[in-house]
Amino acid sequence: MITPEDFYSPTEGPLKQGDILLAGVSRLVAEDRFCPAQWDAVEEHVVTVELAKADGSALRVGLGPALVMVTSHDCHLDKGWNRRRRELLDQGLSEHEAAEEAEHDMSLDRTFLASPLIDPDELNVERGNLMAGRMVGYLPVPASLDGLVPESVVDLTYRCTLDRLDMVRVGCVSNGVRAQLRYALARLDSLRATQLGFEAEAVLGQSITNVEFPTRNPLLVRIHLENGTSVDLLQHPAEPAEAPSRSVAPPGRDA
Amino acid sequence: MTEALVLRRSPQPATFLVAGGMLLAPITGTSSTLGSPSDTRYSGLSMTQAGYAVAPLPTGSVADEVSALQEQIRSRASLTRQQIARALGVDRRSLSAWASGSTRPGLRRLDALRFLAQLVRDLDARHPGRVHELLLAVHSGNRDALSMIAEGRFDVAWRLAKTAKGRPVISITRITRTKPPVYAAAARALREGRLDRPVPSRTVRNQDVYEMDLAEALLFEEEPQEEPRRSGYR
Repeated sequence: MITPEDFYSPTEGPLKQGDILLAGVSRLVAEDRFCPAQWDAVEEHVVTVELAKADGSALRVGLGPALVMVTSHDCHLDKGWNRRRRELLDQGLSEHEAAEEAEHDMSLDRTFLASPLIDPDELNVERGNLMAGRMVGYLPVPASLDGLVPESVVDLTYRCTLDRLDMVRVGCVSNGVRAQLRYALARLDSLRATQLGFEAEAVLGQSITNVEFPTRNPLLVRIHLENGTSVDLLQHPAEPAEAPSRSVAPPGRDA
Repeated sequence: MTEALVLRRSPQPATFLVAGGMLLAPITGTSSTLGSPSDTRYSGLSMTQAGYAVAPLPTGSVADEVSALQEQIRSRASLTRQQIARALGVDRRSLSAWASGSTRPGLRRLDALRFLAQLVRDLDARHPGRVHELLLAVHSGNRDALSMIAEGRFDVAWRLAKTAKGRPVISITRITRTKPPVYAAAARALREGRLDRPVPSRTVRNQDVYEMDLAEALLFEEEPQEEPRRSGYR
């Protein structure tokens, strides 16, 4: 398992994918209030709201405070602000004015997705594989050196929409862990088959000499061909290219 | 019979996509205490009169239908003919005349009777033994469900009947745990003022970061899988 020194990074800067927060989570539950065992500790309350469903019956929500990891990509966390800034620039405002006015719009980029950290003992699975990060749907988390985060796993199968004004940050993770998180999300949600068929050889007209899964870019599948060239078959969802300027902080605040 | 229950939500309908299938289901999340100034998604649940449509009974005359509905209402809700007539905004003799076929009810009255029968069936299914109480419970403004039906305000009648006194609108159950939660140390740090929200800071990104080409989805095509062995949910 990854060491705390490699897992965590200094808690600073804007909200980022992979940040560990103290917030809350919620999940709709059925009339029998069934809760999978691993989430039993996450949902401390069940709120029943009569008449809330389309047929007039009750809605029930299991919810509770939780440590969560931000799963939304950094791009999402700036999306509304960038759109509004572009609109203001089109209206003739200067770069500074557009950025400042967009920053003051409290309705922008309010929501993001997060998944709770749960006790590995609550999961009825082989702990070794779980904490080694070999189980789809989970990202292992070592205990933090400051004692705020116990050893746990991020349960990516439980995802919740949160408000950025309704949380505090507990920790940040390294770029390597952020890459692991993206890979884990992709494996869970969309990428089931990482084995590539050798039909590619027929298409390319070349024999495949090697298939590489670069450890630093885990979503990338690189096929090496007999003529010495290589083909990257899947684009790694990397950070977007940096634009000319960065980190526009609101007036009176340091970035 | 068709219930035209309308959940007023905007701008997004209450649907989400799971594994390529569209489901009608509620959604959930958390919100800050400040809220969103323009968030009107949860403006309420109503049964709109305009959207209400009830098919007539398939066979028989209007008199037969009136008799059948009246009998259903009387047996399930223990309402008197006088009370049913009140819900239709007529007197008891008019109701008897409709049932005997000597006169015919207007469409508005017939719709009210059909609605009342539908409401009684729904309440009986959800709250057996309480239908009479729920229909006659007096709410603010000295209103009850029957008087609202008589005014043609079916949505209000529906809501009043389902929020009758004694039935909580929201209830909260707290589940006690024995093991310290994962967030225990962080919660202590928060109480001690050691945790903060991240400082807002934005990164300028080009527009193409937020654009995509669905043609590239070909990269994610999967081979057809075996027929699922799971037959369905209980």
